[in-house]
Amino acid sequence: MTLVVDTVIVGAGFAGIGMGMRLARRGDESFVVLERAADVGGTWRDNTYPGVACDIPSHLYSFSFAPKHDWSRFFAPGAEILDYLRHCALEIAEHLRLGTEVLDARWTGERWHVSTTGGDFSCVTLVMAVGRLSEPRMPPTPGIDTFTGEVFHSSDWRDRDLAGKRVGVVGTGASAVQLVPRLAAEARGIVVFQRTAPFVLPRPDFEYSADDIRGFADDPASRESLRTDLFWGMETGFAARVGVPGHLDALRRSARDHLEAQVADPGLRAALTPHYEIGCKRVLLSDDYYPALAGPAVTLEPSALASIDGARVTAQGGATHDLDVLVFATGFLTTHPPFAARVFGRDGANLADTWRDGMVAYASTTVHGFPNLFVIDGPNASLGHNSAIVMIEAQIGYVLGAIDDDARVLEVSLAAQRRYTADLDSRAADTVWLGGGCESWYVDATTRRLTLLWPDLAYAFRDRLAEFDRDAYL
Amino acid sequence: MRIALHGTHPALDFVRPLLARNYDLVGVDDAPEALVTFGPVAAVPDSVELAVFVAVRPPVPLSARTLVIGAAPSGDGASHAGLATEHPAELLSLIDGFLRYPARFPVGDAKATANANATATARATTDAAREPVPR
Repeated sequence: MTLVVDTVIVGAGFAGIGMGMRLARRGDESFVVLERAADVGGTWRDNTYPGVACDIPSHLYSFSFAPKHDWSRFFAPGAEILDYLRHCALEIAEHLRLGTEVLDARWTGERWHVSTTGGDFSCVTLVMAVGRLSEPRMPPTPGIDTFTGEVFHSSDWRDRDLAGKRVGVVGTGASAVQLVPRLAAEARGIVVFQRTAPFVLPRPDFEYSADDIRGFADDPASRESLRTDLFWGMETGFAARVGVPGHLDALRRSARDHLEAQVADPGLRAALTPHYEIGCKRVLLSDDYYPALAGPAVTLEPSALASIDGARVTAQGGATHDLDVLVFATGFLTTHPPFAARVFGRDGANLADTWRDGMVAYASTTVHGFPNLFVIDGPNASLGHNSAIVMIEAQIGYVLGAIDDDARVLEVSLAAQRRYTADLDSRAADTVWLGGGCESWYVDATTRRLTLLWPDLAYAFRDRLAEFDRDAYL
Repeated sequence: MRIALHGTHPALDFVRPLLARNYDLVGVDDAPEALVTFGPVAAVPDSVELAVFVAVRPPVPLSARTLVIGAAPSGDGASHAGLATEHPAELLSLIDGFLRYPARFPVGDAKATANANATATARATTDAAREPVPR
């Protein structure tokens, strides 16, 4: 039996929940939110490693239409964000289909037919809101099958207790800098395999006082004002991504001062000094990562993990380490999202094939050949300097505009999509993401195009998507 | 679009290079299609179709579609916008927004990105969060 609805939303993280809330609040009740996991929350459900937290201020990393006055900290811990999302999801509880994985989504000429592990759905509008940090990336490692200990990705932590164990942490990205300091306090020893040193800035976190929280509750305008101020303050950070004089120097100087203040040993400091431009890879915030590396519990292995033989792990530089556990903090499959292989548009075109040379979408949301499909968090819809939630909200607004259009079938024209892509490529050309001399998950490895990030200020994305532009559609 | 920037303002160190990414910056005498001025001007060049006046009033009668930022509406036929913060990115967004989407700035309307200035708490926390910028 096929359940017929107007809209199917795939994914119950920030994007999917937000899309559902906006639909429900305006009275559109004919939708379902499909979630393959048993709970909502997306990346904040999956990532439960010690120390997991957001590096965007909590009052900005939340929906403008569902504000929360009592965030406990300036940067919210992961569990608190998950609680927030669960609370938001209560609004759309009757629309949620948890434990329901999409197997196949096909455009049939007028509607989408979506096959799932929980039955079939037919819809006019299909919204893919599966997130970009949902599919763990496990780099192929020779001998990994021979490892005698436990191997897992940082997003699959669950309730593991690594006390007293010798732990290898592979990677030095956002997850690693958060979990290594916590692990250092309990593990018998940690080896951090660093392929590339990250830039790390101070993390100005603090706990909101009872007075602060009461103030936000009593005076919602002050909370709104804070959000506004946070947004525009963070927008300033874009200047450093395009080399505006002074801004790049200030950012680089801050990172260097932080390293020098926290790491006294010249050898370790040298090993932790990045050799690319700041901002090219994600800039990390931490006050306890460098001290942990400088402490007795952690060994920095300044090269990538090369191979494994039993309990013995060999680094690219030749050093060997005997370990009980290997944690892959190696990020996620971002530039070629696996969900695309399950989406088939007009004439049976497969989205993964369409995106073989890199993800493209008009307005970062719609794809030629895939009528009535909307991708949130898709191509060029992420940010390297501001809150992802701002982008998600802009895309949700755009989707609602499309749903409100009189046309029953909306397919973006190839010409419009090409113009949009060319414009983005032009804007990306002078960014540090393409010219900063690094390898990053923002860039398509095959084409070297910037396919993850929006290459401009966030307000420009918000303005660009503020109105659904029917003229771009066939 | 060819735009001319006129006058001086602390935010220009931020605004100018970011506008230059998406517009051709030309001199006031080089037949600009848009004028963004941070100081008083006696007259707007005939070539100008869009004019932005930051904290100054335009000469009347208006000869171009005009946005006034940071000065109260005075029935002069211009669009008006206010700033909620002192961050230069907000100012940039109003200039850029008007140049791209002038229809979103109705004449006389006091468009603002938020309706209140940041509180002391807001300012303190924002300063802590912001990436370092030139001082």
